[in-house]
This record gives sequence, structure tokens and C-alpha cells, in this order.
Amino acid sequence: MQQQDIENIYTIEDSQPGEDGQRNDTMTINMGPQHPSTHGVLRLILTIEGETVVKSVPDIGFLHTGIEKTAEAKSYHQALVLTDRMDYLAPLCNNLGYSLAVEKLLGIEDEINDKIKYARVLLAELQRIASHLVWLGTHAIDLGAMSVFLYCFREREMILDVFEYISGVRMMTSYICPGGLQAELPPGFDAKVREFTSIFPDRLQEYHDLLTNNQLWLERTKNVGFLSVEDAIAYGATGPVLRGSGVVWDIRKAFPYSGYEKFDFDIPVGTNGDVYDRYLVRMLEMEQSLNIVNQALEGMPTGAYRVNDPKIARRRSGRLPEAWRR
Amino acid sequence: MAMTATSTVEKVRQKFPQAIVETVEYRDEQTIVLKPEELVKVCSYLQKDLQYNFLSSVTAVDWPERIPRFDVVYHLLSIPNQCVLRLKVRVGQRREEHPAVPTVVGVWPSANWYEREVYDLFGITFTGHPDLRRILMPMDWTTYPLRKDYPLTGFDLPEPHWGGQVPYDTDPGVGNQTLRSPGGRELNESRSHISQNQEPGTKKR
Repeated sequence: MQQQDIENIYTIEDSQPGEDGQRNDTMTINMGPQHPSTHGVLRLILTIEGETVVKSVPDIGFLHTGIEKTAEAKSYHQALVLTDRMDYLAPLCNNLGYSLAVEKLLGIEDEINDKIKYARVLLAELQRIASHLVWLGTHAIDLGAMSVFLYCFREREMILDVFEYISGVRMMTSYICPGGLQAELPPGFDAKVREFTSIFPDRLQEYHDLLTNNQLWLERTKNVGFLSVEDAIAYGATGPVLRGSGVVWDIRKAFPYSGYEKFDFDIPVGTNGDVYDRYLVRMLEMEQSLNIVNQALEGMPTGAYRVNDPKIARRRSGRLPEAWRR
Repeated sequence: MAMTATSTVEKVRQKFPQAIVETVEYRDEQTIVLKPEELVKVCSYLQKDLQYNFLSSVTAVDWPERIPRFDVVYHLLSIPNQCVLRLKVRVGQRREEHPAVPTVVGVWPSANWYEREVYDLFGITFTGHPDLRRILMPMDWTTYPLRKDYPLTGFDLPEPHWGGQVPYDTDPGVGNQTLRSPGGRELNESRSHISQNQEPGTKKR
């Protein structure tokens, strides 16, 4: 691509004087990649009219690190740690997706016992809550509600403490691996999770009290960012964005994996497809995730934490601290 | 009767026998390999009549030893029928630098960015695409990183991130001087590795 073409793409239509000699009142501004609320994720070339965005041209790729290319040169176990880094808010969920794919290719899906499945579901749902908490905190702080951010990160820290307790690492745990889990769940793990699950319903209520009926919150989220059902499907929206528009679709129900068919939970959906509905869907999802965590904790079976095949799940060897030999 | 991936394959086989190269079933997943020129016709049929309303992803696979060289892969999802299907087209003749596939943006609007990504990383062009330009890599990038012949560690020369003008360690005010620290170490050392004869973004000869 020639330099001129690049300039043409990024030439921003400036407001031109109209027939009456007045300039129209749209303004083009560049938002990001260093804007506080996008922090390096993307750049938006916005055309704004007052406070209303009339056109937005996204420029993405700032976080593109070529994980696929790196993974081509790795073995299946080495590539596992790359999956942690795909989304630093959901490393365990990415581990899970990757591990399920590798297990499907190896044809060892039947060897994964219920204990592994329950532990994976429990951790993935905890991770979902942690991820949603970061979303809620940053969403609120972007609209000017500082305290919600602090509360959310306080609870998120409890979940990260659980991850640290089981794997030794707060975020990039690589704990779920092809063939099972990296290590046995440590004793006292369930007490640690219960400590979180016992307080979290109250904390969730606290967020609702702060935001859900808050007039400022309603005015800035209701009827903003509308996405219709047709558009959501046609443009390939997934997850809470799709459900916020009113599509009853959850991959955990449609194609249950890792034992999700044994858990009882609802799919929260929105009706209007605006920011407020997507907010409500995510808030209700946290409730459902908590519900699944409780079920997994109650019904956690006993069993091996990995498949009995040294080619897939590497045996620990050498002299290791006694605490690691489980 | 609820539609499944298997019955979809049967229906497509009956309706478009000339379009199918082969069908593959692997680990309970259905794949239809299509001829590129028939792709849009089959996709419209799948979207309109068989309710495959959701395009999950478009990607490509590079088989450098094979002719045709590339697989372009489409993952389809039917939300009403809860089933998934994979389509593939094979393109890329010998020495063909930019193989072309017809675009499916007219069928699923979400294909827009997916196809841009495939173009960006594999150099496969999509004829009829409304806005085919790079999406992840910098606009002035000249190569296609996910091709198998692209070196894993990149090139000796820094790619021209800043419009091909100034490598990151060169101070335009200094010219060709070598900067030395008080200890005698060369500060802009990596500039000495840059060959003037090498075109930016190409392999070192």
C-alpha cells in the first residue's frame, strides 16, 4: 500500500462551510490508543456532534501479538501458557477452551472424570465473576462512579486469592491443562471459595443499590448504544452483547461442554438491546455464575486430577518440596 | 424435523452436486469443501433456507507443500437449529501471490472484518469486498505474517512501522554518525546492521 493511500484512508473529513457560509457543527477527534478508557486497546476516529457520536472508525491491532504464529512453533503443552495471555481477565477460561480442543483431538474426552470437570467449571465460573467485576468497575469509573471500582476490585482480589491458593499464581495460572489440572486442589480450597461465595450475594446487592436505580446511571445507559436482534446476529455479536439484545443463546446450554449439562442455571436475556440491558445481563450472569460455583462446590466428586497417561499429563519428577508432591 | 449438520450436508449435496469437492466428517464435526466459484451461492442457500444465520469466524490455513495452497475456512452457526457447520474452499495455484475468493459480506455482514483479517495475515484477497485493507498489522506492512514461509523471529531489519521513514533507533538529527557513550559503547549499534540495499520488509539476501 502506498503512502498516499494510507493518507487517504486516514484523511478526516473536516467540517466544511455550508451554503450559508456557516460551518456545520460536527467535530472529528481522535480517541486513543492512549486514552484512559481505551488504554492501548484501540483507536477510534470519532465524528461527534455535541456529545453524540455520529461516526466512529475503529483502528485495531495495537494488542496483536501474533499468538497463532508463536503457537505454531510450540508443542501442545507449551502453547498452553500462551492461552493465558489471550485475555488477561479470563486466563482460566481460555485454558479450558484450549484444553478441551486438545483433548478432543487426542480423543481422550471420555477419560476426563467428573472431578476434573467440576473443578474446571468451578474455576471458569469464578473467573467469569472476576472478569465481570473488572468490567463493572471500569464501566462505572468511566461514567464517573469511583467507589464502585474500588468495591469491585476488592471482591476480585478475593477470587484472585483463591487462584493463588490453588496454583501459586494470581492471574496467568495455566492451571487447567490438556489432560486435567496441573495439580491437586489443595486442602482448605473449598473453605476459601465458600468465604467468597458467602459474602458475594450481599456485595452484588450493594452494586445494585449503587447503580441499578441510580438516576445518573439510568440516564447514561438507557437507550444508549442500541443493538437490534437482527444486527446482533448479522454482525456476529456473542455473549452478553447478544443476550442483551434479547437472543436466548448460551453455548453452555446449546453445546454443553465440560459437564455443564449437569448444572442448573438460567440464561439472563435483555429486551431493549441498549447499554443498560447489557449491564443487567452481566449483573444477572454473576448471580448465575455464583449459583454454578455453589453447585460445583457441593457436588465436587473425588477422583484423580489428571488422566493417567504420562504422555499427556507429565509426571512430576526430581526432587520437589514435600508440599508439591500430591 | 430439526436440522442437524449431517442433514445439512445431505441437503447441500442434493441441491449443489457440482459445487462440492468433498465432505469430511471428523470427530463428529461436518465439513463441506466447496469450489470457490460456487461459494456465495451455497452460502446464500445456507443462510436463507437452512437458517445458518451466524458466521462465527473466517480463517485460513496455509499448506505450503500443497497445491492449491490455502484453505479458507468458514464456521457457521444456526441459532434456531443449534448446529454448527464448517465450509472450506481451496485456493492458491503455484506462484499465485494473491489468491482470490469471492466475498460473503453480502450474506453475513460479520464477514467484513474476518475477511480483512485473513487478507491481512495471509494475503488472500476477497473479490467484491467493500473495504479490503489491513486490519491488525500497520497499514504500510508489506508481508503476510501467518504464511508458513514467514520467519517466526521476524526480519533482520525493523519493519517500517513509521511510514517506512525512520527505523526506531535512528535519530534523524544525527545522520550517519555513530553515537558513542562515554564508556565507548556504541549507542545506535543496531543501525549498523541495516543494509542500504535491502528493501524494507523483505528477507535478507
